[in-house]
Amino acid sequence: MSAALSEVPYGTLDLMILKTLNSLGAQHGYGIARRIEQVARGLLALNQGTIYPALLRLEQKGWIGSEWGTSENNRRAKFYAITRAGRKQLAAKEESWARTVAMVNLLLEDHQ
Amino acid sequence: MTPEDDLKDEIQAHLDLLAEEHERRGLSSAEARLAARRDFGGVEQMKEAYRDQRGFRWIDSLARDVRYTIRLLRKAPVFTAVAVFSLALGIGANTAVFTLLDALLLRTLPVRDSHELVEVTAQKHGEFAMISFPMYRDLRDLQDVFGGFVATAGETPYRVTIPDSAGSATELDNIPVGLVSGNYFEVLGVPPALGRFFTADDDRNPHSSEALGSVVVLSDVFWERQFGRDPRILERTISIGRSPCRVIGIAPRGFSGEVVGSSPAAWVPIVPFSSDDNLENRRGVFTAYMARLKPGVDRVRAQAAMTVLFQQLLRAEGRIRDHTEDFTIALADGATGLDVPLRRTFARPIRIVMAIVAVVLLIACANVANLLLARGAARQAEFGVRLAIGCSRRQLVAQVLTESVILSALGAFAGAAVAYGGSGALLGLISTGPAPVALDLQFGVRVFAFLAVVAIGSAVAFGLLPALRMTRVDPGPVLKKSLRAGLGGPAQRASRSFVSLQIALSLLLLIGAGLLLRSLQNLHRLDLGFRADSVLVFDLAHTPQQRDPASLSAVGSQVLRRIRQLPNVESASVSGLLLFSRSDIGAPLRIADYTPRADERVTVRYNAVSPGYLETIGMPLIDGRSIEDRDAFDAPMVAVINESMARRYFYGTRPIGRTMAIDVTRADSAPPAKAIEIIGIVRDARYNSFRQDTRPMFYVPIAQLPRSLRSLEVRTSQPASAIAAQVRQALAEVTKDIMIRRVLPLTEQVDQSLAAERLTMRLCTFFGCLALVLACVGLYGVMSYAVAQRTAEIGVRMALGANATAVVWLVFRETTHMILMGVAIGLPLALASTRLLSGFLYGLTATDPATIAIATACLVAAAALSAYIPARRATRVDPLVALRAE
Repeated sequence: MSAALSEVPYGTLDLMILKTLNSLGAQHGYGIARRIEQVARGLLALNQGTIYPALLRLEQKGWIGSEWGTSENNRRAKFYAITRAGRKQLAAKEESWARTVAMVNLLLEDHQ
Repeated sequence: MTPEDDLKDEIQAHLDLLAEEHERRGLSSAEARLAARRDFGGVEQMKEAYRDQRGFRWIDSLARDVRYTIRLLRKAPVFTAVAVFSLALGIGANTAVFTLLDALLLRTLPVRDSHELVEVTAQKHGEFAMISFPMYRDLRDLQDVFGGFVATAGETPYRVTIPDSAGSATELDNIPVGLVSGNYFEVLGVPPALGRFFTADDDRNPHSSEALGSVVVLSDVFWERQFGRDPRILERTISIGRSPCRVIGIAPRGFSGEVVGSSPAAWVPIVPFSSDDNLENRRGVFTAYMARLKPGVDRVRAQAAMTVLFQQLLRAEGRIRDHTEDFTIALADGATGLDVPLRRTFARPIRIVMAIVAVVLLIACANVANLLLARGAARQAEFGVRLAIGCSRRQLVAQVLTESVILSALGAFAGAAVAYGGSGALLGLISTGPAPVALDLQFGVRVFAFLAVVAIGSAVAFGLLPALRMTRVDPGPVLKKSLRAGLGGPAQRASRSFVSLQIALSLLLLIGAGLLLRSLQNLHRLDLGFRADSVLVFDLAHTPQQRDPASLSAVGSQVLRRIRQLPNVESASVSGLLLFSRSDIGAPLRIADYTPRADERVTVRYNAVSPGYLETIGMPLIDGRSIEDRDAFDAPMVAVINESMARRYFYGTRPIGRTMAIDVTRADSAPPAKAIEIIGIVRDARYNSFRQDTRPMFYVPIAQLPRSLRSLEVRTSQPASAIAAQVRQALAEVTKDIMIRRVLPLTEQVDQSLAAERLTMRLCTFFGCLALVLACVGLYGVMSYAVAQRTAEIGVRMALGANATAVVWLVFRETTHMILMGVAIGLPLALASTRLLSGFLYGLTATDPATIAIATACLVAAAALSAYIPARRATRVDPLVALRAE
């Protein structure tokens, strides 16, 4: 099944962007969207444009920073990189996500 | 480059990269672009979302928090009510006092460019020096730094007679009328609401108002009250005293003169209403002065220029022979009006009261903080879950702070109502003086700004720490633990600190109240030197038509005869000075057989009194005789002196029979040069103030130094209401020239001099008790909560055999710690800050040990009692119930 990415709640998209930037280093919007689609292995069809509001939100929170540069096709493009605060957030979110998953799993097990 | 352009560039770059990717897969360039657009999604939609994210992020999360908070607060109505109530009291009290402070000290006069106005005074070495009226005229004509220079003789009560068309007239007594120079309204920059104001032409012809008539400007309030805003008021004539005055104009609404707290009903020009004596007297002063700086001239320059001019004129005048360079002109900011007794008396007390209510607010905030912390315990689980699903701690703190701000806002709304009523009550408290205080309490921009600042400050004070403490939650353990966890360790410590702080602050206020109370007791226990009880004092305004000594003397004796005929009058007298009215007259003397030192000027205070004065007010005679009827106008001049004068000028000898004379070379008017024989010595007394040590003073018969009557003293057992009308009629039978300003018991006249002390004491006591109640409520709350938390533990102990006393002591141990901390903080704080009160204290120091001990004992007792009640409740715990609840 595939879900438009805009249906996925904020928290998850943020997590994916942070993870991407953490792994790939500085990227522009296209690069991030492409990578997310790749990693989701076709389970998601992404409206790529929707990452821009998310990138703005992350930048407002101080978890990523941006810089103007030139893209591979010589266009003016903004490059994003994760910050230290962003890295801490990523670690925390990964941990809490893992806990939530564990709790839900427990609940599901109990009812069987 | 706008952010919109930036975004466009980003989007374009992204689309191009997508298109390239598709082209690499084999699509044509047109198809690739289409495919890129498809992959990207709706551009305009995205731009909208982007703009929303940029602009409304703050507002969105704020709106969310506010909605959530309101839901929370509605689900806990008791908590909300208690919190809002405490805040309303605290914020309201602070705003009430500030409103008064604003009206008294901060509000500028409703005139044009009030920042250009200055109050003009003279000083010698920083002490008061005189600018006489003739000196003012010289300065005004020769200076060039002022756009205008104004003199005002303040407010005088007059009898105003308003003739009506039917031929009769309405007589109004005690109407305050301001005497001002002709340029007054012009210089202040006040436009007439109707008609015109004075010109220089109206302000000439000294002492001519009774003969030639004059003009008068009415205040808006008087015009409304007496004439119903009749536009035909102009050209009507009313009588101010005995002077017929044409009404030429009405002052604009809201203008009430240059003095804060007074509100003349009308203004007249000063020269026609003043005697030659006053207008030409270079040795006395009856006016105050204001000026408007010329545009571009700053106060420092003007002050220097005026000082130079002043010194020149002093030398030309010839009255001061040496050291004219010690005299300076001082220009003070005049935008808020003249610095007058009302302001001077109450400025400090009001500031002290502001500090007191600020302390009360802090205590109230501590209570609300504790309430929040207690509720925070119940919300630990909620916080844990929210943190777990990705809420940042910052967002959590923001939500809790929103709660604080909303509580504070609600408190501020309710507080505004408290402020409205409270400021009126405060004004009533300071109005216990000779004249009702006409302060216009306005709730203007400054007051609302203050309210807002106090509300926000309170929100931060009581909200920040709980917000930070409560949200310091590790989600894991909370989710695992049972939800009855209760307050965590750090929150509990914060809670206890708040209570200790409250106790400390309450102690501070109680000690202050105690010091003031005992001071007033000390003052009241002072022997005034006369018997003030059962004496009524009539404050008179006497404007005699005939001022020759014989006529004045006759009026005095006739008045006395009539008054003594009234029933229930034990004794009566008249005098030229009113006790405890802050008025003073001194006479330069030459005393036989006393040689003054080289730098000594013998000037002694005196009062001209009728026979019976000393007996009526109960001043005991120690030697010789008192003034009697035989000391008439043409009899040998006599005087009764007080002990201080005897000690000072007649040391070692018996003063009776010795003589003195008024030193004509230094006197203002032409006094009799006859020798005055001393016929009696009277006990020292306090004449004007509780605090002032007695000074030399003498009494002369009013028949021998005739003057207008200022005071009528009547010893009677009747209250003022019973006898005032009869006295008024008796006076009217003798002459129409006497107007009764006030009638009151002498005890009250004396007490009024302590108005500032009494105000401060009453408010300090009231707020001190309020603070103590708040602190005890806080302590009670915290201890109740602690006991509830430890129910299980108590149950176990009781099951194991602990008796009631042991349980109580267990609870009390915690309380003792809080109380001790509170006292440990509060005592040094009190010792440091009661210094502020030192001006009001009498007979004890700011660190009086007895008062401190009593206040501390009261506090500890009250606190112990508040903690005892929950402790007792703990002993009634049924161990089985307690254990089962675990």
